[in-house]
Amino acid sequence: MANILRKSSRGVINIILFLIFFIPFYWMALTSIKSIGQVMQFPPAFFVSKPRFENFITAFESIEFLHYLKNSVVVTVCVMAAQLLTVVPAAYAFARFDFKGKGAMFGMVLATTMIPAQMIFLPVFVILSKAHLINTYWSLILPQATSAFGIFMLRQSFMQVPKELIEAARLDKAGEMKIMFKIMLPMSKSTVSTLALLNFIGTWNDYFWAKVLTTTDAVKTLPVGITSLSNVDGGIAQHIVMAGNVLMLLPILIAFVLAQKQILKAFSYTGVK
Amino acid sequence: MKHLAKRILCAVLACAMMFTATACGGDDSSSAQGGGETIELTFWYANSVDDYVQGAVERFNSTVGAEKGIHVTAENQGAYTDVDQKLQASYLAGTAPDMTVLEIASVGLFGDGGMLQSLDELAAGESDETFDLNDFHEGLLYNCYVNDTLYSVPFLRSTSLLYLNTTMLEEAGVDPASITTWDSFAEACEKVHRETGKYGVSYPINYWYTEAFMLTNGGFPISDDGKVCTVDNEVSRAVNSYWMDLMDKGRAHVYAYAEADKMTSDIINQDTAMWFSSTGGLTSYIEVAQENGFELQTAFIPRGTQQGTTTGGCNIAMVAGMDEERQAACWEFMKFMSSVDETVEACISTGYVATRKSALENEKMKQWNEQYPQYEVALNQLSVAKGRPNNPGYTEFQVEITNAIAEITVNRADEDATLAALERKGNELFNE
Repeated sequence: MANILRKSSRGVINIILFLIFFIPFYWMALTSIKSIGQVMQFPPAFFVSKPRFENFITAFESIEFLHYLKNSVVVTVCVMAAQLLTVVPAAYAFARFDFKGKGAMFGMVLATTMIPAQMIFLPVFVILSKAHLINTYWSLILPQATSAFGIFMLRQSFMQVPKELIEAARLDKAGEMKIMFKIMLPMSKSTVSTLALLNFIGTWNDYFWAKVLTTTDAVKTLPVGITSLSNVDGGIAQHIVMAGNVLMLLPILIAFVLAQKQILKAFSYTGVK
Repeated sequence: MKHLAKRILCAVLACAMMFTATACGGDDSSSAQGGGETIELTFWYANSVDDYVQGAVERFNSTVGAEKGIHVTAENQGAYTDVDQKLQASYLAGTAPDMTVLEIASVGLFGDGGMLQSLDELAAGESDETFDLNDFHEGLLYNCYVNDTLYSVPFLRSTSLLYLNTTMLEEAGVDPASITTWDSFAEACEKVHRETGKYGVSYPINYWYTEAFMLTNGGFPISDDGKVCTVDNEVSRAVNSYWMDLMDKGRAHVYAYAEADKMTSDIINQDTAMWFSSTGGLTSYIEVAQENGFELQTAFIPRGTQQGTTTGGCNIAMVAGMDEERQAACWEFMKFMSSVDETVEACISTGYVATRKSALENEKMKQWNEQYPQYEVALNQLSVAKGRPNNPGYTEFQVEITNAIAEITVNRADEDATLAALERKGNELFNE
């Protein structure tokens, strides 16, 4: 009896959690195929009999969608590549080497996660501006070229790799780079996939840096471009904005579907539950 | 793994090539054109006015600009707060634009901070009779000055305005022209509610409308010298009681500003007969009325003990630190953008008020006002408009007063305690 109760209460909690996460997405998708009259209708309709798919065409044509999309792709790919080059060696060093000030340095890395972007915006802008990098891709890549959270998570994963494996590799005269990329990284595949996905979502959706570090349209990314959809139709265009959001969300959904297995594994391995 | 490494390497190389292409693009501030030097200027603006601003800049570049060797590039920075944020940062970095719009409450902050060029000499030495400071409406000039120094000229300016769905009002037996005072406004709300079951007014609580109602009741949240907070008094208590009474009797739909979307919904669904908004929304509201089949009129903010309205919008300012030649080029652009012809274009295109008095004599404006008398009401209201406080602490105070009045009106927090706390906070902010 107790078992049935436990199972059913778990089921109810799962359903509630599912609805909490699912409803906002459903609402976005639903709004994206409504007319503005249906959007403003009260009480709101939970289904649409005649979906207006032309909203997607309007969203696509009202802004330079392909230009912003290209910028988003370039920035996201480059940030991911840059983080791979900076996060892996840092995590490996913190996990496998003992050196003076290691604890303090690791503490400093973790402390950076507590500083909000708004606080460091001014010095970052000034540095990039003096280096003539504002309105270039660099201005959107460099501030995100490493990740303290990534270093922390990968360090935890690297620490789980048996010491004997590394010692055996060293006996076989493998260099540190080889150990790092050929032993540690494949052994932490799940964590790397998760980090890559979180990093992808974070960079793809990033609004703050893309907004404050650009003053022209040259390298503006999709999240900033999509906000200007709110100006369509005299400023009352929630349905068009939502259509733009759906278009922006598609790559994330595809990436999630592709990496789903690895992510679940990573969270169960690393103890991030 | 080999394949993965190869792919990553390819991606990095491809990106590096793209950077090289992008990062190499130079940004010269002047360029040779047909033997003479063209002065390249950058102008920052904000909000959804791209069509008008880009069109106006194009007109300048092809006329005055082409004649005098000046080329302006206009760049939209997002909202007014984004302009403020980026202007501070770029000024520190030495990469600020030549000219920028500034939300009128920010002129004091940047003027006081030495980031803006004084326009006194340029304006005084102006022989061009198309530019005349006295031709701007007085209510709009207040925020152009900081400590008696001219730092900006009026650009896209607005006032708070009462919008009327006259189709609904007439259905309820209300003469729209009768809505002129607090009493007649309340009476109209009562009739609409009684006859149609709908709201008389949809009202998101916001500092701008609170200020407007305090103003029409003989007060304002800050003293005239801009140093003392004046909210814990009978003027604000009367405004709060007025709205709570309308709300309790079901005549007003009152809610916190975070839910301001409700107003759009009320307007489109014709669940409200009246609402307050900026003149800057006039063009959009006329479109909404046409699409949804109702007649739209505008009116002054209802009078309590006196007539009055609050102003908003932005001015154009010149950034400090340029040589005289660039200053003169910027001044040409600022004169052009604040000319009678341009202010008429801006008014028609966006709904912001025409800033020059002589715009009323402009043929295009006359025709437009005849076709859409709603614009003329907005313009006439300028005679009772009050400038925005220049105290740098007022920007933060706006959030405080919006929240406090919502607490009192919607959540029914203790009025005495909330107003006393708000006044204390205001005095702290104004004297920091």
